[in-house]
Amino acid sequence: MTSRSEIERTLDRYLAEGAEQVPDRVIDDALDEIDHTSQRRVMGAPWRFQAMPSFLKPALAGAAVIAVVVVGGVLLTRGPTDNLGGQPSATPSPSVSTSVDAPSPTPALTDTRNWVSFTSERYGYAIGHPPSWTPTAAVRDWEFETDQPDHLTAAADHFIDRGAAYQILVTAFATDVATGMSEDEWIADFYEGDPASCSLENKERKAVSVDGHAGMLFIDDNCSDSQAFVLVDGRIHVFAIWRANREALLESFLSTVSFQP
Amino acid sequence: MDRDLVEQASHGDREAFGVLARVHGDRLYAIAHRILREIDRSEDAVQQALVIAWQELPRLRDPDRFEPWLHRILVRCCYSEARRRNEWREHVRVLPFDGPGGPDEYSALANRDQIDRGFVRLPPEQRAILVLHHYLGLTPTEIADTLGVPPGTVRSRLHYAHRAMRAALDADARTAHLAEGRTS
Repeated sequence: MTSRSEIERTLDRYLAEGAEQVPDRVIDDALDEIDHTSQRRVMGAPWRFQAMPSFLKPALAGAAVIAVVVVGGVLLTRGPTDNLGGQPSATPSPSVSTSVDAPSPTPALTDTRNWVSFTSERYGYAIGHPPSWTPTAAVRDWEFETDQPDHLTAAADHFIDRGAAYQILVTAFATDVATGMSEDEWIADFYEGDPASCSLENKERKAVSVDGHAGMLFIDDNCSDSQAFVLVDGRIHVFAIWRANREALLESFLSTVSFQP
Repeated sequence: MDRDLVEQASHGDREAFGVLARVHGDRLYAIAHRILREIDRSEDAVQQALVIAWQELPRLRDPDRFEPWLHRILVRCCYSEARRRNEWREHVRVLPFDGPGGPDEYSALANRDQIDRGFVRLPPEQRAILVLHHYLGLTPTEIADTLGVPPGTVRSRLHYAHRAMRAALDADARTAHLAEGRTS
């Protein structure tokens, strides 16, 4: 029988060993990503340290309106950091309705007009993805017992941005909801077993509409992922993006979804 | 030095942030590798933590708190990486470390494989606390401050993590003892 102090000494020595030096490419890749990533500004931050002359206020207000229009236009035609492909085509993209259910700002959706379509025969939906992304179809039906603990299960369709230095993964699958079980109960079960810091209570919720069906988007930047759940004819469709702060990109994916009859 | 760099980086200076990333990168990687025990995912956690830190830096009120703030982000990224496969529920192949291989105090107590097996079975939240406590040498109060959780939670997780490790080593020792009994 080992004593507590022995355990502590054991762990001291065990954890003293291990990697100490990060490969340069790890930092380089992160900095490459940061080169294309904007900082989040604090609302009401002290940008000005001196009182603004009153005669400048109308002029700056006008400039701000112009800036919003210009920046909005840029965001609508190009994703902020993702490898989203080439020139837009003339095909209009469906829109995703985002009735406000949480106090988050409406994100700028990525232009999806040049995206290519992937059809999931297994799960009965079609979805667009950037041309540079690689889709991989699920190899089998998603089952709760087997696949709930494994968020990267091969039972989900995968879409990976392999061209980016900092890869992004989107997954999608669908499964039947048991008779008598509500959508909320199924979602609660889906998150069961996750660390407390990633629990359902800590996620921001946002109502979305996907191909005319009401759904719910759960955003959790602390745990670096977001999932959308949409119930269609007794089957729940789950679309997820496995990166922090990329819920807007997930919504762009959702805007291209059409469910098959 | 950090304070000036942090202030510059929080105002959008990417070069300043690059210096911070290289200064703190080794420590971040060491922490991530000890929590996750896998090179690929440790690298991913570090990259993710740096990108999030860059995005969120304007919200950091006290530049002197940069390092614990960065560690908090990293630990959350490690939770996320671990969560992707819930690998603590499975038997995971653990990469060997390049540490000393000769007999020493801890190899006499339990060999590294036993400790590895016990460690990877812990939930990532307990692993993180063990790493912050035994590797960085932080007290429970400092860990609580770093992770933004109550000190009582830290002490509780530390207690359970120690107990789980002790149980894992004891179980392995009993198994080995039984095996010896069968072969003798």
